[in-house]
Amino acid sequence: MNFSLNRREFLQAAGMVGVVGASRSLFPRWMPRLAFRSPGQEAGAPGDVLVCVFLRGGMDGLSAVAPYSEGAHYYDARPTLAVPEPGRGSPALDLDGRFAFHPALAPLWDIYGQGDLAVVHATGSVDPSRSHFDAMHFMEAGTPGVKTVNTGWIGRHLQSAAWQNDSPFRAIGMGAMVPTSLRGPISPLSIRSIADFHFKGREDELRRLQSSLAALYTVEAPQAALEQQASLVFDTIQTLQSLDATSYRPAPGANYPEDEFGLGLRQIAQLIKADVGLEVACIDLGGWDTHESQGTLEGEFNQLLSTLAQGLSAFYQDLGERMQGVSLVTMSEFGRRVEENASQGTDHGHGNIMFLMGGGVKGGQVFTRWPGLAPSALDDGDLAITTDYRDVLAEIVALRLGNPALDQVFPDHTPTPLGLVEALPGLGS
Amino acid sequence: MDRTLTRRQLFTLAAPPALGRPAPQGNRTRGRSSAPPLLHLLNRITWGPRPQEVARAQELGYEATLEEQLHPEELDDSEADALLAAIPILQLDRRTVHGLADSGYRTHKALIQGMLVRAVHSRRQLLERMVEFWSDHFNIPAEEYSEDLVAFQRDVIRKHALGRFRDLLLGTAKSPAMLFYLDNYVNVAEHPNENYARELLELHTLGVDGGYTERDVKEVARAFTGWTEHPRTRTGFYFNPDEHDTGTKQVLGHTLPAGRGIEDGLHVLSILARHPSTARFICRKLCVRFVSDEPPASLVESMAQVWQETDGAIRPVLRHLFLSPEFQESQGQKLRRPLDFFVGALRATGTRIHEWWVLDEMLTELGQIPYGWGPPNGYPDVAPAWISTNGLLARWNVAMRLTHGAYSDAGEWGYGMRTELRQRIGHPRTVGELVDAVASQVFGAPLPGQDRDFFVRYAADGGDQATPVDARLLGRKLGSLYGLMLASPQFQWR
Repeated sequence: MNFSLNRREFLQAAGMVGVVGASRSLFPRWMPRLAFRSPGQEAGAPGDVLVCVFLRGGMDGLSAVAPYSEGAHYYDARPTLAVPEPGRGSPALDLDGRFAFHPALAPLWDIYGQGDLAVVHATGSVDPSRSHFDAMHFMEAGTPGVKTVNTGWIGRHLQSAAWQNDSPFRAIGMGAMVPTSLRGPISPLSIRSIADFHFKGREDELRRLQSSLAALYTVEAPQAALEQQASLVFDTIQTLQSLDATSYRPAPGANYPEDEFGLGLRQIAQLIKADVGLEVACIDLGGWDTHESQGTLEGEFNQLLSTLAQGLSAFYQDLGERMQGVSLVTMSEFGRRVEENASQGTDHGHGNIMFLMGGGVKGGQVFTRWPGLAPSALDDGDLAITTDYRDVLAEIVALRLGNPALDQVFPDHTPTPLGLVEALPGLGS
Repeated sequence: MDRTLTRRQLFTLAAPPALGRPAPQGNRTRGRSSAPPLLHLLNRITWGPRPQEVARAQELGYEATLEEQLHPEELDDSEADALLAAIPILQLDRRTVHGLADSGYRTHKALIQGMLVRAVHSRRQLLERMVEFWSDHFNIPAEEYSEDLVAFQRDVIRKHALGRFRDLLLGTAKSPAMLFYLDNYVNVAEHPNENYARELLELHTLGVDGGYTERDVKEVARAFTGWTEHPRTRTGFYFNPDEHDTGTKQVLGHTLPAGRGIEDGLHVLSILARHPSTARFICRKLCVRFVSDEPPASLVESMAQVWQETDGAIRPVLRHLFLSPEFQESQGQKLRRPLDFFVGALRATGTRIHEWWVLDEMLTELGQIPYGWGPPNGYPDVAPAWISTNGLLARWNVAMRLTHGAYSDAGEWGYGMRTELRQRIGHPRTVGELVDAVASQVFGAPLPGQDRDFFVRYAADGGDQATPVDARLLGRKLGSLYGLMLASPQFQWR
């Protein structure tokens, strides 16, 4: 593996020194990939980049994609929170005569119409837990009800994949801490800001300090977890530096929300386009635990949903053509109760929605085996789950990421095919 | 400007020493595995022992040191008290606090400053570690709740941190901070709100596997109907009998008879406090905090026994923990969380940060701000939650910022802070003495053999420990020697 070229040396070798304004777009796509491929190995990941958005707190799917055609079962249960029926003068956006987008999802309307966005409804983790921490753990570990598993479904996917990818950017968690879904033998990169990811300090001693740190942490041959992280830090800084990551401009029309979520998505897009070997990126959007004053067309829930929609829409715009090779999925640890509570909010529920966005998605539809909201159809007052979320993810892993080892990704589970995505060329369904 | 080195270059500048012989995960015993038991005790009950604390502990011996820390009220703490006098808002009563202009911002800031002042300067280190433990256990974020957190911290957590668990539990149940945070203030007979009841069982007492059912959650919620907040009572707690569900209730096999008022909630708290699952759940958490991420079942069991025998008296339980053989065998197994790292670094360097935004910046970079964890389960306490590339790079950068720039007192890195690096090391004549002096500040004692050699070679630019120290060497090496030790893997584990 050749890490020793800096950007200037590379450009020189490629005959580009002296070209005014030699920008990153002239950086040949093949170079960084080569750097991370071991000779004789499968040429990197064959499929999509997976982007996993976790909505923490229990997002209210019944407000985001409202089952308005349920009539009284929906509207009587939510006197203040129900999304109005779509139609003349209503801000809600009818999807298919049964469900409507909450107005805050307007930025996703075109993407849905173009067939690159789909909704799965009445889905989630079948475990009955209404505890945030347990439910999140089960969902991210990919083993509902089983607490003893400490690896994540994505961690196991990376481990079981048939190809090699030694890039330090192979799996990224945006944020300070590594999400459970990424836990596994392959060390993910946790990063908050690409622009800030470098050593800081006084010039005169910096080089000697860095080499001393490298020695202290045995980065050449790291054994324990801390040392492995240290090694990854060095590799990452090296690569980011050679990419000149600070001068990125999103594509025209891609207006990311100006918050941590927007910044995170923007950086993921940047890294995808930079071809550094990114396979999986995880990002969180929290704050969905709306027990009180949830609001409908205004308020907390509406704010969050707007942030989500704007972020996803900007990401889609920014990637442009490259969206064909990306599969983005959203999930939340559980949905919220059908009936609103006494504080104009909702309590922890069960069934929920997932969004799928990407070139391979059979979009423009709501996939669901809809159980309905009649009291007899509810699961202890909650929307029932008729599609196991693992089936949604399994389909993406097999058909878009190109990893058939589903028994390892989701142990003790046989996924049901759902027909949500087009298989990659060369892969069966 | 190329600030980074290629991997090949890194290793021509400093020959890697034989440090850190590969240790099995989770059973690592770093360079200080041979540290005497007393140093191990101090490493765990303090945020990093100061040399004077080590000296005093050596005079007193292990058990007396532990006893002294278990009775903080008898320990003079004038240095910390003097510094706390500069944050008077922490002493104000509830109504006054709420009446202040900008109360949210000011109390939030004061809480963070107060926590850090105590962690860095208090001699009552074990008390402060326990305050931190209970603050995590009964987590309430400062965002939105800081005004009420002032009283919560002062009158509930700090007051009972080494007392009896049942007193602590009752205090939290009645505190406006908790009533607001977990929505019990709107828990009324007609529309019960289960949020507090659930977290009370799952997080505060029995634990998620403690043997309660969803039915129990609902019944506990009913028991606490009417427990609410009032702006004009002294503590802010008010029991509203009109909103209380007076029907009979079944909780964990106990019958709560009909027709009672506040007694229902008190009864539930009593059941929970003396439940064997509570003893085990909390004792296990204490072991995770003070012993290791996967604590030996034998210790959890024996501690739980002490808990049951003393009806949840915290001192005897802690005494049992720190006198146990399992504790002795756990050297080097706990990873410093980012705040542990930061406080330890401040204690080692004597840094005072006088610009709020500088402090805020570093805490944010490190990824753990006091009272900054949103969900009620508190900041995680195991290594995998905190080992990350981002976290590690942040620690290195903060270590350099605290020591490098501050020492030279030049340039942006030293802005907003002062340290005592030079004042604390005396007058070392050789590099060996210098390294020992700095290590004593950072680790409480000089480093053992190979670890020490590494830093000697660094400070002497390849030379040996006899290399003489002059002003020039100090100028070039003192700050970065401190910084490297703080950034080292040895400092991350304790």
